[in-house]
Amino acid sequence: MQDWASYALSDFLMFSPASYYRRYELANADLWPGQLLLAAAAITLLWALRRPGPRSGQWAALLLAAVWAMVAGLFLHRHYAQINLAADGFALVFLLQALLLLACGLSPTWRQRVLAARPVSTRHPGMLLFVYALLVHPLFGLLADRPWQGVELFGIAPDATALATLGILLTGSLAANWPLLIVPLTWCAISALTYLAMGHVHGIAPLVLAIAALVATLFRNPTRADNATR
Amino acid sequence: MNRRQFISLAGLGLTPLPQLLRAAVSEDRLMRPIPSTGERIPAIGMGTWVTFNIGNDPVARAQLRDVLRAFFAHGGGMIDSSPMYGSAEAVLGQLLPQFGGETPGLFTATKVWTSGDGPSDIENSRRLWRVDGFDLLQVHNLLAWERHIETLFEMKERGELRYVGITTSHGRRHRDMLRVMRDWPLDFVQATYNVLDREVEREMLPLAAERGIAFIANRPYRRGSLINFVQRHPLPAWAADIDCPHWPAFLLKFIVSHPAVTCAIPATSQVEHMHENMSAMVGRMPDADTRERMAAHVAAL
Ligand SMILES: NC(=O)c1ccc[n+]([C@@H]2O[C@H](COP(=O)([O-])OP(=O)(O)OC[C@H]3O[C@@H](n4cnc5c(N)ncnc54)[C@H](OP(=O)(O)O)[C@@H]3O)[C@@H](O)[C@H]2O)c1
Repeated sequence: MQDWASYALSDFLMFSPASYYRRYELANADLWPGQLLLAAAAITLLWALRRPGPRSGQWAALLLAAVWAMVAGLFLHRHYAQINLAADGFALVFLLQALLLLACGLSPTWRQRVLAARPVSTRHPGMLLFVYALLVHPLFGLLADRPWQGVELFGIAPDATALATLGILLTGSLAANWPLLIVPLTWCAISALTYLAMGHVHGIAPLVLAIAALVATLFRNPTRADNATR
Repeated sequence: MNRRQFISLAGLGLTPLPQLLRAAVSEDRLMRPIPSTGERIPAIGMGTWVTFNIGNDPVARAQLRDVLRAFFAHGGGMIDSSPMYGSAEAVLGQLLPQFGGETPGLFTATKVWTSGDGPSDIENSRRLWRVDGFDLLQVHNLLAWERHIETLFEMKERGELRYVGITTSHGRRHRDMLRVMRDWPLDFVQATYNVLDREVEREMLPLAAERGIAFIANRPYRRGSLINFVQRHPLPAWAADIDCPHWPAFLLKFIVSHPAVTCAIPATSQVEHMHENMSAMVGRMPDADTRERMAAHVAAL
């Protein structure tokens, strides 16, 4: 066996994977039936992406602000901080993102930029990431034999929320939206490190997908892609 | 388990689990004296890093209550925690009172872990554990030890604390540990010791014996990786000669049979594992030659 006289990443992990996953079950149970409202919020956002109206960007930003504040309060502060001394710090960062989104929702100059002004193609990397976050990401826990009560839902789980938000922001103007990308991307990196410390390598998937969607958006040829799908 | 013990468990309002029926305080379990007072404590205690950091989860709390119940039913003693272990102290404080005083031999050990105000942090730990005072307070990882150690000795002098110690782990800062052991009248030191991590055998354990300092072995299973590793291999047949029916007993007997070791503190969240760990206190113990054979065997796996 390898020499021992140094710390491994896992030595900094102060909770067990089982205890971490239980946080999702506890947060889900706490919120029920609030998940129905979150589903309505997700459908509203999807609608705004496909059929944007003049004020869609504003409403999307306000909705997302509420969702980030909710993840900060319910998951990070109320449940995760019970087992991770750093989680209240994460909650503050999530609140900062909520404030930024709130400012976008209220500011007359920024409101249109959170979302694209035109309907977003279903093949846009941001759109794909958004749908992944809502529908596919929650299933991964089930594949890893975690109980369905602990599914990671948009609006409760930070990974799903960060990915869905990134997806939406990538469909808008990157030149305007870039400050809003920092916190979700940072969270994906923190989450990936946590999973690596737990020895669950599959947990780096959100970070990889977020970066892939960002890169794909940057290298996308908007005219050709949009013409191809509409 | 005799009838009286069975009834006293049932009296806790807890359904006796089938596997608990195997648990019984063995009168000839390995006890070790604390050199500074001669008080004898069980050679296997328990740690709480990670395993007891479960926060407000009622399911996990019920499971840990069973783990503690098994610990006491086997005559366990030392429980080691720290304010650095997240909710572990609060979880202990929730669970221990549920035993209604039926925690014979409980030996409370926690740490000061802060560069801030030692006394108020100690008071905070005491409130979390819901105890009147601690048996042992240790300076965690030698952090700001010069300041904290004076506080601890003052508390001991005032009768608010029974024993003073310092800790490290992962083989770090052994030079500093040795220096503090020479300069201060410590009751306890805590460091990593197991069948593969044997650095302490060279200087720390001999010095502890010479200075009359009790030694607590932490990370007996290398936070699980060592036990998981050896369990992929068959237990050698000669393990039966030292009454080791499984690897946990093999690894723990190696530690507690060192003459200068006072106790080992494996952490577990599983009742079954607690039974295994506590079984290492009974039966024949390895002598010096057998200990070398054990170490060589595991090193060669
Ligand atoms: N600087 C310091 O002061 C310091 C540093 C490190 C540790 N410590 C103390 O020492 C204690 C012990 O160290 P540790 O917790 O790091 O690691 P450890 O006791 O070496 O290993 C704990 C791990 O071993 C597993 N385990 C326990 N009994 C088992 C069994 N019979 N069969 C299979 N697996 C078993 C547990 O998993 P299950 O839950 O599944 O059983 C747990 O994951 C700590 O809890 C802490 O109190 C102090």
